[in-house]
Amino acid sequence: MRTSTLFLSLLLLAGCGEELAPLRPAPRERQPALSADEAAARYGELCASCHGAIGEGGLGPPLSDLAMEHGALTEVIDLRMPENDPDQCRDGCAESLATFVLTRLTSEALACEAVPPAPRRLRLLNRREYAASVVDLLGLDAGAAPATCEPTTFTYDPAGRALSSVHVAGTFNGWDAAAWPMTRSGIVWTLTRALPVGVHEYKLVLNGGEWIPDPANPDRADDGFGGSNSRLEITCDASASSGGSTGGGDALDLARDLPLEARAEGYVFDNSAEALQITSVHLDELLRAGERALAALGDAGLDALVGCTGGRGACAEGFARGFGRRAFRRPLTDAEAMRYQTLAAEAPDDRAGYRAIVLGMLVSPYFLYRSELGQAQGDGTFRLDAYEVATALSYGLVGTTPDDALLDAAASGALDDAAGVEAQARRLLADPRSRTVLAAFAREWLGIEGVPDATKQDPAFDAALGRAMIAETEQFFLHVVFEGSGRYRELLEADYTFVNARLAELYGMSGVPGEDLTRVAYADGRRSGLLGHASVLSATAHSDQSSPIRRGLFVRRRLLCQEFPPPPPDAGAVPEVDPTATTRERFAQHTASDFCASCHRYIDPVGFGLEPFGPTGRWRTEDNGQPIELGGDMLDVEYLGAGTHAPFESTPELAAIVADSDAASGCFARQAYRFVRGARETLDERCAVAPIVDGFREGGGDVRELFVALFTSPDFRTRREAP
Amino acid sequence: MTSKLRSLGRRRFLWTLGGAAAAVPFAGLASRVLGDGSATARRVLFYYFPDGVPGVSQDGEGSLWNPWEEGGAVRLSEALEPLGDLARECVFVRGLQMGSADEGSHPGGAKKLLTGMDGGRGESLDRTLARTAGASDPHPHLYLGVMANQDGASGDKHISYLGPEHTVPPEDDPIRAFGRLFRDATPSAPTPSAAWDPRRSILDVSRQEVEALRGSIGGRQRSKLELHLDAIREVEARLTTDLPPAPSTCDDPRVATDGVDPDRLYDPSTFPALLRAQTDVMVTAMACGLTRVGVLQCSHHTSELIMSRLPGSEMYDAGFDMRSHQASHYGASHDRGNRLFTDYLKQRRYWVQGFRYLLEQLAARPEGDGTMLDHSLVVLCSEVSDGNTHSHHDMPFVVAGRAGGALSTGRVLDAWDRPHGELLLSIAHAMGQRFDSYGQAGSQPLPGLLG
Repeated sequence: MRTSTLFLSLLLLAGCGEELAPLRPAPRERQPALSADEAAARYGELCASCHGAIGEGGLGPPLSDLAMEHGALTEVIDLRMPENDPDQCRDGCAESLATFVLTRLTSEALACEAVPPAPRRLRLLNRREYAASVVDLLGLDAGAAPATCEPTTFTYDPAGRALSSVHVAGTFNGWDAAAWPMTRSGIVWTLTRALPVGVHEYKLVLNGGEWIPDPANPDRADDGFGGSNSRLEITCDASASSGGSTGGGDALDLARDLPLEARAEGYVFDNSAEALQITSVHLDELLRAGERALAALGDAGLDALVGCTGGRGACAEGFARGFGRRAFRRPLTDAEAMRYQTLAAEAPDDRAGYRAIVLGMLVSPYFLYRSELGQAQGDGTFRLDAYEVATALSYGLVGTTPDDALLDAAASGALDDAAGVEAQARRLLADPRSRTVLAAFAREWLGIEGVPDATKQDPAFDAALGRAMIAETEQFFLHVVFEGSGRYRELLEADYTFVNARLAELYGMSGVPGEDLTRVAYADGRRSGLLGHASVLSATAHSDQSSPIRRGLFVRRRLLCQEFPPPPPDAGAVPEVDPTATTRERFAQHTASDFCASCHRYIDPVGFGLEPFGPTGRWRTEDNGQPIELGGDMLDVEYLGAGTHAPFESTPELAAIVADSDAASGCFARQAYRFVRGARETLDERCAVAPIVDGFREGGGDVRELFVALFTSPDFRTRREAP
Repeated sequence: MTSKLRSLGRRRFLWTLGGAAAAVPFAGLASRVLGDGSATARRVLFYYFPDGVPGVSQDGEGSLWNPWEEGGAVRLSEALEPLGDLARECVFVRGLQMGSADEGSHPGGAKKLLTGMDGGRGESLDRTLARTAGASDPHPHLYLGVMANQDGASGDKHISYLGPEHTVPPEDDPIRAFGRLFRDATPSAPTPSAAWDPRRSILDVSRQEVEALRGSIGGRQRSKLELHLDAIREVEARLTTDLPPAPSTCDDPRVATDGVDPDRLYDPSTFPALLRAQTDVMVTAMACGLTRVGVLQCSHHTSELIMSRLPGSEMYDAGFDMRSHQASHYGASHDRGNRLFTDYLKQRRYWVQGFRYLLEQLAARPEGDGTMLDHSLVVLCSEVSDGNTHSHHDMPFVVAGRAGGALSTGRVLDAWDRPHGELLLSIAHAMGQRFDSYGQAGSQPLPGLLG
């Protein structure tokens, strides 16, 4: 390699006069052979981006039914593959991959005669699921304010003074000095509540009797007693209602201090079954969140939850079993009930005992992990039991812990057959809470969650506009699924969207006042469905310029599920900023070489088609002072290497090409499968996904039916031992 | 957000309730000398910045990062120049390589950087040291970021690996981080030590449950539960350990947060305030004996952070957006007529200034017979060498602090293309962990670094 040779010679020059340590190559240990599962995973990591997920070919030649001897193939892999870095897989790895290719990538092995199931897993709740579950389990009132208002957080800093309590009292709670306790959070006291729209006055109550205006709020009003009240005006901003990182309408924001979700590489959703794991930071924050939830519940709420007045001696076991059934999503064993009963007995009083049961269950692995372990069937497979099915249905469709109807269905055997599962899936999908889950799916599938935090040069852009962009996409997506045709195609081809005044300004529309999102038709033929959404166009652009590569990759990866290897070493610089050239011209130069074009011909010409949209999705006719050239080309839409062209002149035409393709409808079904299962499908699961994909296409791309089919497919409740 | 409360009345300082040093736990970080008499560092801190340095250019021009020695003194390159006289506290390691796997790739470099394993297929050194050297500390590991989670960054954007191919996001909010570290260290907790603490009994129940669950599965699911058990042990230790008084380095544990806004953690205009506050949180936690293993991750590779919007920096330009990764592709040569290159150089100087600030904070606190810096080991690193070629050779590593006497500083050390795993192994040794090897190529300590 040129650079390292030069580097070595420079070192030698620099080292003149010093004692030279012996130069030796980095020791390279022999790479060991891989297990079958490891080989499948390595194929996915190293080979699939060029040779296809099942060896069907793409950027590289097909591998299925390869007519090659094992030894010869091993040598090719060992010395030449992957092309950008053969050292990635040598020796035993190369042998194992050769075995994998020759035995697994054959028509016979790929025929899907047997459908190997997904691995059994424990799936940690993510922040959204955790917060929703705790609110439901404790019956916490998420607040009286309309769901579209963001909660208000009161913060009081006692400046080092030790206080026993701080309450917020005001017009919103009848000036009750004991109704709204603040919680000490580190060095400050906080309380988060959703407040009704309007003007409020309030004070803080220290130690139960010292009334002061809120020092953090300079807005004051005369209190009529010679002092002042703090004044607060809530104007409900619809655009601020959603897109919060935790989702859900939980005014307590129980998950606010929990660490962000880790995402597995190449997996876009925040519910990764593999990546989500508990560290001590998680456990610390889970304990605190549980304590905050109990504080919000209060004594009266706790008494109501326990619903038994005989003291803990008489009530603890029943409460542990009753609450535990809901928290663990299954009946407790006698030993478990006894364990929590003992916990309560240790407490100094009854309520402390009940609180310990609740807090204990809220940090229990049986609550925090959704079990998809199943019961051994004697043939090496496992079968999810009825409670595990209920749990998967509930988190998959309504994002929270199963309700009583679902648990009762599990208990009665109603979930033991596909018809019973289907009935529950349809019930949950019709439940308004499913909107939260599908909105999260849309945000993460499209990768738009970060837009409010983005930096843009467009002076109109700020976090509120970013949130409005997400709200637009969520509302549009939910409208199509629940009120519109319900068809995938409409997501891409809709000639309407939902805007408020600020989005309307961005889109060049007139006559849309206010903060609320209103349905409007695109009158100009420039935009079409999700590809015209400011959220998507902003997320795939930089602050000051569009990015044809990002936008092209968005279409290829997120909409078509086509993968690309990372750029090879020394791929070279991104195009330098040429003050006289458009973005398109700069990138066209960049990909003019055959070497770069081998991948970028699939990516850039798609992104070029979105060049009329600037970094915030605003329509533009000029870039860098030059007129924008319209249109682009979608090569090989169905699969890389197909050899097809699909030139287009406008975004609606691009959207139609995508919507018409089997690749896109299949991809959407696969993304939904991944979201529900918490992982990308493995090679083994390909056969399980195939009938879901086929059903989705044959049914005309009905999104609701897809989300039912994900739970009624034959493999839904079978698992195999985890790698 | 329409409430006015959130945007007004920011406190300027975070401090512990009561503020008294005696209130803060102290994990007993006494000087330690190993059985063989060799000195060890009390703590280790990794300082990471993204997108490399102006190394050997595509056209073959020499590195503009590496310093050199002249007349017995270290001469700093333009990029390192902001270190100034603190160069005497550093060993500048030239010529380490991370192997050829994924060479040319940012993620490939980030995966190897602290794991010493291709593809990030192993635990990173910070986590290993947290499990070993830091096992008895209230917080064995502290991972802070400055806009390190921008745009939902995860996976290969983060450098601390809990296990094979498994990262966990750092905390980007200094106020939250401070609260997490110090809230249990405050004296106002209403529970006297003799009173019943439900959390202890609860964690006991949890442990039994996790252990029972662990028996029913194998493989990756099982290691997930092992990690859960580690977490229970750590939190239990925090609750049950009787803590000796805080060390003298922990006189007034507080952190200035001017300019920090939890609602604008990804606004580049707040970046310098966040970097300063996170550095202070890290140093304060270490000064108070809460942790001895820390990672401070500035941004992440190939991020959208617009460095020309960092107020008060050399590259500040209100009318021009320049990102780190964008500038790193400055072209084939070190061309000072090229805005990309000059910005890249200024950005690197900014990261070095941040490193300097960190060293200054450690040097400002007396500890034992010297300063905290004398008893610390601080490692500067990035995931590639030259930002344009993405080379994994001649990696930019600076090791600072006297490591309790294990490290003699103020010099340049040539590594002659040795694997960086050797540096990782040497760091473990400096922390008193005498592993035989580290990662896939750290089969011996880096010659000439320690002792």
